[in-house]
Amino acid sequence: MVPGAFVRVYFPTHEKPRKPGLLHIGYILANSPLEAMVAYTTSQPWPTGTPLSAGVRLFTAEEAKRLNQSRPFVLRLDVLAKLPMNPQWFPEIEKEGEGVIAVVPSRLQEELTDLATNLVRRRRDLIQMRGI
Amino acid sequence: MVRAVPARLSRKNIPVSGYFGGYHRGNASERKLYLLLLSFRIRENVMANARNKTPSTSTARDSGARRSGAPKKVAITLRLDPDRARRLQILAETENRTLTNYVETALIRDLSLREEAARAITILAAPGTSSIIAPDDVVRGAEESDAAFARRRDLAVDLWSIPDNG
Repeated sequence: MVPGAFVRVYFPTHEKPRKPGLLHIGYILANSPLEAMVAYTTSQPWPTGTPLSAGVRLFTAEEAKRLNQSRPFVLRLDVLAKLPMNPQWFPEIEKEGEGVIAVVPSRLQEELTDLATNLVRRRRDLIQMRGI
Repeated sequence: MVRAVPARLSRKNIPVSGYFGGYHRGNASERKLYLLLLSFRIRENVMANARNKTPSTSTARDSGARRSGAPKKVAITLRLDPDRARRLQILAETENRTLTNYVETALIRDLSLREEAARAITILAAPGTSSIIAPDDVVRGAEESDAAFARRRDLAVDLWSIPDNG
Protein backbone atom coordinates (compact mmCIF):
# COMPACT_ATOMS: atom_id res chain seq x y z
CA MET A 1 0.00 0.00 0.00
CA VAL A 2 1.47 3.35 -0.99
CA PRO A 3 0.84 6.78 0.54
CA GLY A 4 -1.29 9.05 -1.62
CA ALA A 5 -3.47 6.16 -2.80
CA PHE A 6 -7.25 6.05 -2.92
CA VAL A 7 -8.23 2.59 -1.69
CA ARG A 8 -11.32 0.60 -0.82
CA VAL A 9 -11.71 0.50 2.94
CA TYR A 10 -14.35 -0.36 5.52
CA PHE A 11 -14.26 3.10 7.09
CA PRO A 12 -15.49 3.07 10.72
CA THR A 13 -18.32 5.31 11.86
CA HIS A 14 -18.45 7.88 14.66
CA GLU A 15 -20.94 5.65 16.47
CA LYS A 16 -18.83 2.48 16.24
CA PRO A 17 -15.23 3.61 15.80
CA ARG A 18 -13.85 0.19 16.77
CA LYS A 19 -15.70 -1.76 14.06
CA PRO A 20 -15.35 -1.80 10.27
CA GLY A 21 -18.09 0.32 8.71
CA LEU A 22 -19.45 0.49 5.17
CA LEU A 23 -17.19 0.12 2.16
CA HIS A 24 -15.84 3.54 1.17
CA ILE A 25 -12.98 4.92 -0.81
CA GLY A 26 -10.33 6.29 1.55
CA TYR A 27 -7.19 8.30 1.00
CA ILE A 28 -3.92 7.02 2.49
CA LEU A 29 -2.47 10.10 4.17
CA ALA A 30 0.39 8.20 5.78
CA ASN A 31 1.23 4.63 6.62
CA SER A 32 3.72 2.28 8.17
CA PRO A 33 4.06 -1.33 6.96
CA LEU A 34 1.42 -2.31 9.57
CA GLU A 35 -1.00 0.62 9.92
CA ALA A 36 -2.46 3.43 7.85
CA MET A 37 -3.96 6.84 8.57
CA VAL A 38 -6.88 7.03 6.13
CA ALA A 39 -8.96 10.09 5.26
CA TYR A 40 -12.68 9.72 4.56
CA THR A 41 -14.24 10.43 1.19
CA THR A 42 -17.87 10.61 0.16
CA SER A 43 -19.71 11.26 -3.07
CA GLN A 44 -22.47 13.02 -1.11
CA PRO A 45 -22.20 16.66 -2.18
CA TRP A 46 -21.31 19.21 0.48
CA PRO A 47 -24.59 20.73 1.72
CA THR A 48 -25.51 23.93 -0.07
CA GLY A 49 -25.15 27.00 2.10
CA THR A 50 -22.96 25.24 4.68
CA PRO A 51 -19.49 26.77 5.05
CA LEU A 52 -16.72 24.44 3.94
CA SER A 53 -15.00 22.96 7.00
CA ALA A 54 -11.25 23.31 7.30
CA GLY A 55 -9.72 20.13 5.94
CA VAL A 56 -12.34 19.55 3.28
CA ARG A 57 -11.23 19.28 -0.34
CA LEU A 58 -13.82 19.08 -3.11
CA PHE A 59 -12.97 17.11 -6.25
CA THR A 60 -14.80 18.04 -9.44
CA ALA A 61 -16.08 15.45 -11.89
CA GLU A 62 -13.03 16.05 -14.07
CA GLU A 63 -10.59 15.62 -11.18
CA ALA A 64 -12.48 12.54 -10.02
CA LYS A 65 -12.26 11.03 -13.50
CA ARG A 66 -8.49 11.50 -13.51
CA LEU A 67 -8.44 9.54 -10.23
CA ASN A 68 -10.52 6.67 -11.72
CA GLN A 69 -13.66 7.73 -9.87
CA SER A 70 -16.94 8.12 -11.67
CA ARG A 71 -18.47 10.91 -9.58
CA PRO A 72 -17.36 14.18 -7.97
CA PHE A 73 -16.45 13.58 -4.33
CA VAL A 74 -15.48 15.25 -1.08
CA LEU A 75 -12.23 14.37 0.70
CA ARG A 76 -12.44 14.91 4.46
CA LEU A 77 -8.97 15.39 5.92
CA ASP A 78 -10.77 16.28 9.15
CA VAL A 79 -12.23 12.77 9.44
CA LEU A 80 -9.43 10.22 9.73
CA ALA A 81 -9.15 6.61 10.73
CA LYS A 82 -6.08 4.84 12.07
CA LEU A 83 -6.41 1.29 10.82
CA PRO A 84 -4.40 -1.93 10.78
CA MET A 85 -3.49 -3.02 7.27
CA ASN A 86 -5.42 -6.25 7.10
CA PRO A 87 -8.39 -7.64 5.15
CA GLN A 88 -10.79 -6.87 8.01
CA TRP A 89 -10.44 -3.17 7.15
CA PHE A 90 -9.02 -3.27 3.62
CA PRO A 91 -11.00 -6.03 1.89
CA GLU A 92 -8.80 -6.19 -1.20
CA ILE A 93 -5.42 -5.77 0.43
CA GLU A 94 -4.38 -9.34 -0.33
CA LYS A 95 -5.61 -9.19 -3.92
CA GLU A 96 -3.66 -7.95 -6.87
CA GLY A 97 -3.64 -4.16 -6.82
CA GLU A 98 -4.48 -4.13 -3.08
CA GLY A 99 -7.75 -2.34 -3.73
CA VAL A 100 -5.92 0.77 -4.91
CA ILE A 101 -8.11 2.84 -7.23
CA ALA A 102 -5.61 5.55 -8.04
CA VAL A 103 -2.51 7.22 -6.66
CA VAL A 104 -2.50 11.01 -6.65
CA PRO A 105 0.23 12.91 -8.46
CA SER A 106 2.99 14.21 -6.18
CA ARG A 107 1.83 17.84 -6.46
CA LEU A 108 -1.66 16.96 -5.25
CA GLN A 109 -0.21 14.78 -2.51
CA GLU A 110 1.79 17.76 -1.27
CA GLU A 111 -1.30 19.97 -1.35
CA LEU A 112 -3.23 17.47 0.76
CA THR A 113 -0.32 17.04 3.19
CA ASP A 114 -0.12 20.82 3.63
CA LEU A 115 -3.88 21.04 4.19
CA ALA A 116 -3.76 18.38 6.91
CA THR A 117 -0.60 19.83 8.48
CA ASN A 118 -2.12 23.30 8.77
CA LEU A 119 -5.24 21.83 10.30
CA VAL A 120 -3.28 19.91 12.94
CA ARG A 121 -1.02 22.83 13.80
CA ARG A 122 -3.63 25.54 14.01
CA ARG A 123 -6.36 23.69 15.84
CA ARG A 124 -4.60 20.88 17.69
CA ASP A 125 -6.70 21.45 20.80
CA LEU A 126 -9.82 20.58 18.82
CA ILE A 127 -8.65 17.18 17.59
CA GLN A 128 -10.77 14.32 18.82
CA MET A 129 -9.44 10.75 18.93
CA ARG A 130 -12.04 8.03 19.41
CA GLY A 131 -12.01 4.28 19.68
CA ILE A 132 -8.77 2.90 21.13
CA MET B 1 -73.62 24.97 2.26
CA VAL B 2 -70.61 25.89 0.15
CA ARG B 3 -68.16 28.19 1.88
CA ALA B 4 -66.12 30.79 0.10
CA VAL B 5 -62.45 29.87 -0.05
CA PRO B 6 -60.33 32.68 1.44
CA ALA B 7 -58.01 34.39 -1.03
CA ARG B 8 -54.99 33.18 0.95
CA LEU B 9 -55.25 30.15 3.15
CA SER B 10 -53.36 30.37 6.37
CA ARG B 11 -53.30 28.46 9.60
CA LYS B 12 -55.35 31.17 11.29
CA ASN B 13 -58.19 31.41 8.80
CA ILE B 14 -58.56 27.69 8.16
CA PRO B 15 -61.88 26.43 9.54
CA VAL B 16 -61.60 23.02 11.19
CA SER B 17 -64.95 21.87 9.83
CA GLY B 18 -64.62 23.41 6.40
CA TYR B 19 -63.33 20.57 4.28
CA PHE B 20 -66.66 19.15 3.20
CA GLY B 21 -68.13 22.64 2.98
CA GLY B 22 -66.31 23.57 -0.21
CA TYR B 23 -62.55 23.29 0.20
CA HIS B 24 -62.53 19.86 -1.41
CA ARG B 25 -63.59 21.55 -4.63
CA GLY B 26 -60.14 23.00 -5.11
CA ASN B 27 -57.38 21.29 -7.07
CA ALA B 28 -55.12 18.61 -5.59
CA SER B 29 -52.48 21.02 -4.31
CA GLU B 30 -55.11 23.24 -2.67
CA ARG B 31 -56.62 20.21 -0.93
CA LYS B 32 -53.17 19.15 0.24
CA LEU B 33 -52.44 22.63 1.57
CA TYR B 34 -55.79 22.66 3.34
CA LEU B 35 -55.07 19.33 5.04
CA LEU B 36 -51.59 20.46 6.01
CA LEU B 37 -52.83 23.69 7.59
CA LEU B 38 -55.59 21.78 9.31
CA SER B 39 -53.06 19.34 10.77
CA PHE B 40 -51.03 22.30 12.08
CA ARG B 41 -54.07 23.78 13.73
CA ILE B 42 -55.12 20.50 15.32
CA ARG B 43 -51.56 19.83 16.49
CA GLU B 44 -51.34 23.31 17.93
CA ASN B 45 -54.52 22.72 19.91
CA VAL B 46 -53.26 19.35 21.14
CA MET B 47 -49.96 20.92 22.20
CA ALA B 48 -51.75 23.77 23.96
CA ASN B 49 -53.87 21.26 25.85
CA ALA B 50 -50.83 19.18 26.71
CA ARG B 51 -49.07 22.19 28.23
CA ASN B 52 -52.02 22.74 30.55
CA LYS B 53 -52.08 19.13 31.73
CA THR B 54 -50.77 18.05 35.11
CA PRO B 55 -47.89 15.54 35.17
CA SER B 56 -50.29 12.69 36.04
CA THR B 57 -51.98 12.99 32.66
CA SER B 58 -48.81 12.54 30.63
CA THR B 59 -48.92 10.21 27.64
CA ALA B 60 -47.67 6.65 27.44
CA ARG B 61 -44.86 7.86 25.21
CA ASP B 62 -43.73 10.34 27.87
CA SER B 63 -43.66 7.72 30.60
CA GLY B 64 -41.88 5.31 28.22
CA ALA B 65 -39.23 7.94 27.57
CA ARG B 66 -38.76 8.44 31.31
CA ARG B 67 -38.53 4.69 31.89
CA SER B 68 -35.78 4.39 29.27
CA GLY B 69 -33.91 7.28 30.85
CA ALA B 70 -34.24 9.55 27.79
CA PRO B 71 -34.92 13.18 28.64
CA LYS B 72 -38.47 14.35 27.99
CA LYS B 73 -38.85 16.23 24.73
CA VAL B 74 -39.82 19.86 24.74
CA ALA B 75 -42.65 20.97 22.47
CA ILE B 76 -42.07 24.12 20.45
CA THR B 77 -44.32 26.08 18.15
CA LEU B 78 -43.00 26.56 14.65
CA ARG B 79 -44.44 29.18 12.31
CA LEU B 80 -43.79 28.65 8.60
CA ASP B 81 -45.25 30.26 5.54
CA PRO B 82 -47.61 27.90 3.70
CA ASP B 83 -45.38 27.44 0.68
CA ARG B 84 -42.40 26.32 2.78
CA ALA B 85 -44.64 24.12 4.89
CA ARG B 86 -46.02 22.47 1.77
CA ARG B 87 -42.55 21.82 0.37
CA LEU B 88 -41.41 20.37 3.69
CA GLN B 89 -44.47 18.13 3.80
CA ILE B 90 -43.65 16.76 0.36
CA LEU B 91 -40.04 16.13 1.37
CA ALA B 92 -41.19 14.39 4.53
CA GLU B 93 -43.52 12.16 2.55
CA THR B 94 -40.74 11.14 0.18
CA GLU B 95 -38.76 9.93 3.20
CA ASN B 96 -41.86 8.29 4.69
CA ARG B 97 -41.68 10.52 7.78
CA THR B 98 -44.11 12.76 9.56
CA LEU B 99 -43.54 16.46 9.08
CA THR B 100 -42.58 16.82 12.74
CA ASN B 101 -40.04 14.02 12.50
CA TYR B 102 -38.64 15.44 9.27
CA VAL B 103 -38.16 18.90 10.80
CA GLU B 104 -36.60 17.40 13.93
CA THR B 105 -34.20 15.27 11.86
CA ALA B 106 -33.20 18.28 9.74
CA LEU B 107 -32.45 20.29 12.88
CA ILE B 108 -30.43 17.42 14.38
CA ARG B 109 -28.44 17.16 11.13
CA ASP B 110 -27.73 20.88 11.25
CA LEU B 111 -26.61 20.71 14.88
CA SER B 112 -24.32 17.79 14.18
CA LEU B 113 -22.78 19.59 11.19
CA ARG B 114 -22.09 22.60 13.39
CA GLU B 115 -20.57 20.44 16.12
CA GLU B 116 -18.44 18.68 13.55
CA ALA B 117 -17.29 21.99 12.08
CA ALA B 118 -16.23 23.10 15.56
CA ARG B 119 -13.77 20.21 15.75
CA ALA B 120 -10.57 20.29 13.79
CA ILE B 121 -10.11 16.58 13.19
CA THR B 122 -11.82 13.42 14.30
CA ILE B 123 -9.58 10.35 14.30
CA LEU B 124 -11.33 7.02 14.59
CA ALA B 125 -8.83 4.51 15.91
CA ALA B 126 -9.27 0.78 15.36
CA PRO B 127 -8.49 -1.64 18.20
CA GLY B 128 -4.89 -2.76 18.30
CA THR B 129 -3.43 0.26 16.54
CA SER B 130 -0.41 1.86 18.14
CA SER B 131 -0.16 5.29 19.68
CA ILE B 132 3.23 6.00 18.17
CA ILE B 133 4.92 5.63 14.81
CA ALA B 134 8.68 5.66 14.39
CA PRO B 135 9.73 8.17 11.74
CA ASP B 136 11.70 5.44 9.99
CA ASP B 137 8.54 3.34 9.67
CA VAL B 138 6.65 5.97 7.64
CA VAL B 139 6.41 4.65 4.09
CA ARG B 140 7.68 7.02 1.41
CA GLY B 141 5.91 7.62 -1.91
CA ALA B 142 7.73 6.61 -5.08
CA GLU B 143 7.94 10.13 -6.52
CA GLU B 144 8.02 12.08 -3.25
CA SER B 145 10.74 14.69 -2.83
CA ASP B 146 12.87 14.77 0.33
CA ALA B 147 11.16 17.94 1.56
CA ALA B 148 7.64 16.68 0.86
CA PHE B 149 8.35 13.37 2.55
CA ALA B 150 9.83 15.12 5.60
CA ARG B 151 6.67 17.23 5.97
CA ARG B 152 4.40 14.23 5.62
CA ARG B 153 6.53 12.13 8.00
CA ASP B 154 6.30 14.87 10.66
CA LEU B 155 2.53 15.00 10.13
CA ALA B 156 2.29 11.21 10.55
CA VAL B 157 4.31 11.25 13.78
CA ASP B 158 2.12 14.08 15.04
CA LEU B 159 -1.16 12.37 14.16
CA TRP B 160 -0.15 9.01 15.62
CA SER B 161 0.79 10.61 18.94
CA ILE B 162 -2.62 12.21 19.62
CA PRO B 163 -4.09 10.55 22.72
CA ASP B 164 -7.54 8.96 22.87
CA ASN B 165 -10.12 11.26 24.38
CA GLY B 166 -13.28 9.63 23.11
